[in-house]
This record gives sequence, C-alpha cells and structure tokens, in this order.
Amino acid sequence: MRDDELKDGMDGMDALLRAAMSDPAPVASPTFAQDVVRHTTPRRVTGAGRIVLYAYAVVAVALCVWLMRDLPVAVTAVALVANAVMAVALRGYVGSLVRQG
Amino acid sequence: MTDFTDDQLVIRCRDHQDQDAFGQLVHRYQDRVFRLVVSILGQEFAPDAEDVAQEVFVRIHHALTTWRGDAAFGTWVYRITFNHALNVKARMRYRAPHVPADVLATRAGDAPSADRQLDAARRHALVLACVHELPEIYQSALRLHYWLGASMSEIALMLDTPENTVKSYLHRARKLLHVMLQQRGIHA
Repeated sequence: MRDDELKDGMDGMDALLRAAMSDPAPVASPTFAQDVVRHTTPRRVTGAGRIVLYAYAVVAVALCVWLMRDLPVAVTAVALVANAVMAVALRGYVGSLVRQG
Repeated sequence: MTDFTDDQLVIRCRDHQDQDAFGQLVHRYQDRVFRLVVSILGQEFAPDAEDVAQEVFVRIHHALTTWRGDAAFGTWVYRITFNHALNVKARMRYRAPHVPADVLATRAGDAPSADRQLDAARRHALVLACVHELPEIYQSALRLHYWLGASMSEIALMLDTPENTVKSYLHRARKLLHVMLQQRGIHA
C-alpha cells in the first residue's frame, strides 16, 4: 500500500470512528459522590442496638453457666473463654469479608 | 478542604476516618474514573458504568491502608480502575449487552433514507465490532478520544502512559482497524 493511500485511509478511518462513536457520552449521576460516601461509611450500632446486644450476651452467658452448673467450674470457665475467643475470631473474619467487598 | 492535596486527604481519611476527606477525593476523581470505566466497558455496557465506578471507589476506600505514596495517588486510582473495569468486562462478556429501546428508536428516526440509514448503521456496527477485537489499551484510548472527547494529556494521565505513547496507540489502532475493515469489505 502506497503512503498517500495509507494516509487517505487513515483520514477516512478517523471520520468513520467519529461517526461510529457519535452516541452521546454517558455521565455520572449528580449524586454519585454522595452514594459512594454512603456505601463506604461504616454503619454504627445505635444506642438501642448496643443495649440489645449486651443484653443478649449477658443472658447467653447466664444460661450457659446455669446449664453447666453440674460440671466443674474449670470446665465452665474454659468453655466461656473458648466461646469468647471464637466470637472475636469470627468477628475479625466477617470484617475482612466485608472489607474485601 | 478543597485546598488539601491528595496526600493530605488520604491521610485524613485513613488515619482519622474522615469521610468528608474521602468525599472530597471522590469528587476530585469521579469524572475521570467514570470516563475510564466507560472507555473500557464500551458502548454496550455503558449503563453499568456507574455501578462499576462506585465499586472502584469502594475498593479504593478499603485499600487506602495499603497506599504507601510511592506513586501519585491519581496513578494508583487509575490503575485500580483499569484493572477492576477489565475484570468486570471479562465477566460481562457472558451477558447479553444492554441496548435501550429508545436508543434504537432515535437511530431509526434521524437518517435521511432507510437504505442509507441501514448501511451507515451496519458500517458503524462493524467498526465497533472490530474495535472490540483490538487490545484493551487500544480500545480504551480510541473510546476516550473519539467517544468521550478526552484530550491527549487526559488520556495519558488515565492510562498512565506518556502522550506520545497514546498517539502511537491511536495510530496503531486506526491502522489495525483499517486492515480489519478492508478484510471485511469496507473501505474507509
């Protein structure tokens, strides 16, 4: 292909590309930044929610202690500590899943 | 907060959980990130661009702790955007593209005659199909230049390459397209 033929082809290509891509370019919605910030703001537990969670923990521990009343105190203590460790580990794991999105 | 540099905003956001600082960063980069996403996804998947751009910012927010400041914040942002949009596009290829009915109706109503309209639509569809076969970086450069009207310096910034390289991408892409279209019987 000669140089002038190639140049004509390139000019034609330029026009063809402009025509093929003449659709109006999309734009982001005006609330884009607000939506992103809302998605990335960590959700805080409300005061009432915190009370419910603490109440649940207290009742669960009390129930466990009552159910294990016939077992040695050491076993009860080990079980409670093991549960607490598992809860913390699970919280960390779930947190990492949330961060990965 | 508009006077703060990117680095200062990142530190405020990362070390003090300042969401206003992150909002400022989003505000600063949203247009370019959105345009880069659109340029990678292409016309067919443009309606998904906003969701993908939002996912990019969520990823950036989660990854702020890993940003060490070795490269400019913008460069890091565009790299994350490019990689994420490419991954999304790879997944989307298995899905039928979204073509809104009103777009088709608009196209059918503007041309002077049905034959010429159909011919032009076929040529344009073929051009876009050929664009899809080009390497991703060429596709993105073409769409940014021809569709989104970005300047050379903007494209260079978003693709993290020198301006001369962008010009070379565009030139090579046009050359490849010219050959591909000739093989399909279309002479530009």
